[in-house]
Amino acid sequence: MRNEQRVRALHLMVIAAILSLLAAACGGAAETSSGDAASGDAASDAGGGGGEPVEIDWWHIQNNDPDKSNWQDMADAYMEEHPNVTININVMENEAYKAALQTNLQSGDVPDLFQSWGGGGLRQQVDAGLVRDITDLSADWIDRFSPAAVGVHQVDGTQYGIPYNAGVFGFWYNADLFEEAGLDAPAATWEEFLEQVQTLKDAGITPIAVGAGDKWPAHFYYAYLMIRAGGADAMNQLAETNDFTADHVITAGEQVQRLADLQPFQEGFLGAGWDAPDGESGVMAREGAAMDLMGQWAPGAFRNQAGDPAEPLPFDLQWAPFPMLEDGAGTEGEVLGGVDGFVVGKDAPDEAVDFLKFITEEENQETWGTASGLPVNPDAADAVEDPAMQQVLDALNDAEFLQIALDQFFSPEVGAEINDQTVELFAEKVTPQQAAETLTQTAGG
Amino acid sequence: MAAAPSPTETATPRAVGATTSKSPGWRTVALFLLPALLLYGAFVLYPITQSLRYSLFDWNGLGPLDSFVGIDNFTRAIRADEFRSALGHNLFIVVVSLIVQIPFALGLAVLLNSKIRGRAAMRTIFFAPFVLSEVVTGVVWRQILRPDGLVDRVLDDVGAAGLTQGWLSNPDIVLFSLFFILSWKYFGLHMVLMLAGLQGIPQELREAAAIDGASAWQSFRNITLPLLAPTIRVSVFLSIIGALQQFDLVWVTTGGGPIGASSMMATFLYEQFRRGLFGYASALSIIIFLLSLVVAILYQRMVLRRDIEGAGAGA
Repeated sequence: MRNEQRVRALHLMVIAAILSLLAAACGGAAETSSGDAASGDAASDAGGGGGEPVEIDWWHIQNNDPDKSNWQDMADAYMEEHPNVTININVMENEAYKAALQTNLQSGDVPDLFQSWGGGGLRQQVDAGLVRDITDLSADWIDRFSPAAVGVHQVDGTQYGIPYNAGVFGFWYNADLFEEAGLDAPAATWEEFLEQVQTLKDAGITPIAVGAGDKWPAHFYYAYLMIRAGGADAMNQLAETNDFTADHVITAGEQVQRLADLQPFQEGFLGAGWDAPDGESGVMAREGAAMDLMGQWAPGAFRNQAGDPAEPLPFDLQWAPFPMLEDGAGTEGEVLGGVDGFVVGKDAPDEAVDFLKFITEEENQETWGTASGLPVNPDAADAVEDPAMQQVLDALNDAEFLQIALDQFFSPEVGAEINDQTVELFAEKVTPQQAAETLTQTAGG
Repeated sequence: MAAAPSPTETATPRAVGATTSKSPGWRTVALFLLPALLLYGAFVLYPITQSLRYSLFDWNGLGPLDSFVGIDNFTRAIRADEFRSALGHNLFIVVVSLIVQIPFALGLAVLLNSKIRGRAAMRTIFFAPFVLSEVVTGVVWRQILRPDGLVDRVLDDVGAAGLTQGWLSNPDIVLFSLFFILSWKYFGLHMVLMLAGLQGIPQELREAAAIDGASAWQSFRNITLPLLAPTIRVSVFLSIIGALQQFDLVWVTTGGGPIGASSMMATFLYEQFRRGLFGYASALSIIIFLLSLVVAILYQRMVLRRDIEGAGAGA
């Protein structure tokens, strides 16, 4: 009997606790909204002809300095110029961002500006009516970008977002380790490249770092080999037919396995992530591997893992394009890359688009270019001083066809399956044919 | 989750009636029940019915629910090799937990129930891992088991470099590593449960047995074990349910990888959410819920029945 009373008392306490939490949450919400109203009034008073007070919720993923503070500075500068605008920044780490965004989109609480890689993910958001058509609002100034970069955030000719960063993927390599093995740079052809991998191994150097635990870093090999084997035509056809049993996909799978056969990756690569002390970037930072197929954000991540993002790396980091496949249809100008941009949420005020114009102006793009990114506004190109980064930028400007990473290009479901199948290929659990068939089935081709 | 403590529920109105001199006043009862019912409805019943609804649609989480597919999501789940292997991994954890973890905890509890030096300190130390959150545990062990991490380095230093492994990156080993981490975290809980059970066994019984010439083993086998059985049955129950629902620690430590070698039903489910397959993921969640429910009910009916009846009679 006493036990029962105790249990009942406990129940009451739990209910009381929950109720008080609920009450606290309600109180909190009320407070913030009234607080915002007050500050909005103050802003419009001070701004004079500044217009109606508006708020912009901005979600981005530059969670490391210097970018994190640079972007805060840009927002502050914009708010100073436009006193009626309040920009609420929400900075998240990449994976956390994806999870949080999904939840918000689903509940219809769409951020006004949020990171987007275009492709199949954006198409789903457009179909669900979650993002805003900004074609007219951006018409006057969108020609500041190259058409290839702008196209990533278009769906059926309608503009939904603005790019701020673009790059071509390639091999970031440790020139010191290459020299140690008597090599100069990653070779221009795939056959020679595979020989180099063996040479590096013979010299006791781990040739390649890859975070196959995160999967997407591994898929760059599969995707790039598809492009090298089939070229732009075959890739465009793949996007239309969703038929992954096409020749160039099979060839790519075979070449991935030839590479994997050489066992070129760091110890434990199947469990490693991209950006962690025991991940791909950590291995590169402590010179545990000679090269790494990655985008333009790699040097920043390496510096971060090496200790201080502001300090230069303790080794000579160089860049080389992905090798050409001898009998492939792909050309040097057909490349795999990525474009980051911001899309505009369905309920966003016009000021949000104006803010995108602001952050992609020459000066702000120069800030971006001197930190860890590559500007998409060509006027800011001279801000890129690092010779390796300049190479990436040149490759981007010379590109005739830019295929964005396949896991972003296709729908999230197909993209995830491509990543899965790549890792299965790496681990030699499936044949290239099996991988292609699974992909075709998932994609409905 | 499945256990409905019916004795308490029926006791509530009676208790209210007993304390007030007049009629119980159903308004008062309703008033006091309302907050709990509202919370239960909003945070338990509503999500479950929503999941049920979503599970019948092909839905990417965005836009309207307009593509009704009936039970397709369920057949897809049952046919999926990845889901079956995830279920297999859950069952593996269940089985080895019962074979290794529970006896180990029992042994330690018996040891720490005897009068040995420093037993209070040891109890605290063995219980400490249970207090850590699963995420902290996962992060810490990931660092310890990573290539060239603490374990590998210690093996190197003692001249056993040949034994270093891809503890978390070798598909053939990762499940054992995870089991070790799970046991490390949870054996303390079972140990404490059994310690509590052991303290409830009257010392006189063992003394009497000793006087009659029973050996330590006989005393353990014929007195301790039978009297501890209710506690062990609860421990086993917690262990099974915990292993079936395992998510956090696995997700943080391996993400279910490499190549799905350590996936659990719940991590597989979560991956489907991340792919935007909300209908399919909802169907999976229903399947996992039903599986756990069936196991829980069967276990209660068949194994825990005696214990529950005993408790009911005592109240």
